[in-house]
Amino acid sequence: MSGRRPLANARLAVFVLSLLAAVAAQAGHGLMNSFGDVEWLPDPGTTPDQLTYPLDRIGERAELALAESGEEALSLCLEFAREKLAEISAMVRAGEGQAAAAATAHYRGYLDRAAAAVEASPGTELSALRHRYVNALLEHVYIMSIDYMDMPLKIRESALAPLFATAMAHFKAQRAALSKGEKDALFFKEEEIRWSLEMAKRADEQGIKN
Amino acid sequence: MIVPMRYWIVVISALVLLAACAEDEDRRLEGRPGGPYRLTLQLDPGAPRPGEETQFNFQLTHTQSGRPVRELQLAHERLMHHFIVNLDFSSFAHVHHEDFHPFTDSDRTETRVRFPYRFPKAGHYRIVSEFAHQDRLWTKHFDIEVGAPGPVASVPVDSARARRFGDYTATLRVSPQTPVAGYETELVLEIQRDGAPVTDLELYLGSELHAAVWRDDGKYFGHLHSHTPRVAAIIELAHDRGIEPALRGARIAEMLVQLMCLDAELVFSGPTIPMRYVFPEPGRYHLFLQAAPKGEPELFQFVVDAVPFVEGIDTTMHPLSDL
Repeated sequence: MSGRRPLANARLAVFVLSLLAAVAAQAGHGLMNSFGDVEWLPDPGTTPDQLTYPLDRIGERAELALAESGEEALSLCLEFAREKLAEISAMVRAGEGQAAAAATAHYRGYLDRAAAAVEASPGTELSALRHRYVNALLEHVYIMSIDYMDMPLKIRESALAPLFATAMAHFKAQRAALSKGEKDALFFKEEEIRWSLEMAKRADEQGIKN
Repeated sequence: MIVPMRYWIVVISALVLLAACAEDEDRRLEGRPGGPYRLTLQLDPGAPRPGEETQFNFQLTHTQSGRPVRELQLAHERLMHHFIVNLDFSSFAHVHHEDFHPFTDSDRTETRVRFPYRFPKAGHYRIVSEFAHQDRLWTKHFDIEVGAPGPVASVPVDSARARRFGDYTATLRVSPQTPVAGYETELVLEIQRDGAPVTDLELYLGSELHAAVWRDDGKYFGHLHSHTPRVAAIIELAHDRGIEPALRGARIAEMLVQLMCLDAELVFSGPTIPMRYVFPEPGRYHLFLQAAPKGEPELFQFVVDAVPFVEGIDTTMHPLSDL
């Protein structure tokens, strides 16, 4: 093993060990443990299939308009984005594909605003805000890939594919702005996400639902 | 008829006591984080006291349906692993239902898990429960106050990489010397007994080593084992870019099935045991390592600091073991 680039080894290790974890319950490899303390989604509250939903949206927009700094705007966008994820989850479970699509569009909007807040932040804050945003995006995908298993087989793939694509596109855009070393430091988190998505895909192929 | 006042006092006291007992009975803690599985914990007594036996009663259900989770997978010879740590990191335990009683049909049907435990002293404790279902590992944690603990007190930390534990001296070598968050780290535990290398390690729960890891704030739990040549061999195979990817994938899958079907095998009889770990975020981590010289589990505790990545920092894993 000596003389090989550590990251190459790391990538191989994750590749193999992720397979290992997928095939057998070989507990405890120590390489993918980034999301064990992740905060789960909030209560969905008002959902897009309810008449009062537009009022909820107005409230969110007003709050965001009053944000006094890029950091505050980012915090609000991430908070609202998590609420949208909770709404999407609830709507998919309820078989409300259109309402889920509406919540996904709002989720996309908050990610766009969050990205803008990061890019507009002063140089002293830029790195910290980008780091926070990138981690939040990975958490979103992780949570939804787990939640996926509880969702109805018929609708979940079509309903959640746009969400995963949106979050990963934002992640890639942010990642491109990182240095090589910063990217490498995210490697295992990314692999954990990919593996989690792969498990969701495999559940679809096998028709597995909790 | 006039009912005497003392009668009412007795009745009201009895009712208050009954209500308190009922509340105690119903006090179910819910494991975090959320997700597709719901793990609840009921303690008996509901307010544990230091030094006295507390019964832990878990139940695992599907969050959405409320049905018990059947067909848990055996992971390292146990259906559910529980790690109990005082958040001042002064005590640690790795406990299982099967250590105390066999699973009954009812336990399995209802997915109930139970065991007794004595908290050694008052304090803030974190319990992490780990189980495998549908080819995936899950953890849930609970926070419990024992006695009247007051705020979490920090105890002096011995950050030495060579420490004495009873008859044993354990050394932890780490590469890179200062782990970088997000990067892979090699850790090697070396054990000596009365100054002589230990060469009589036996398997404990299917591995030469079990390690539980927490950051100082109780977050980022990790559970890892020895980094065996089998895993290293698969990595070597995966590294062989000369093989067509589909064929390589098929070979790896085949080896993994073999791995799954084989019994646990003693690879490292001592004195060294290699591990690999990724510290997910910067901070101080507490490592509780369990190995079994002569078949008797011994606990070795270390502290490792992980730093954030900065340009120019050494992230290289310089080889510490022969794998």
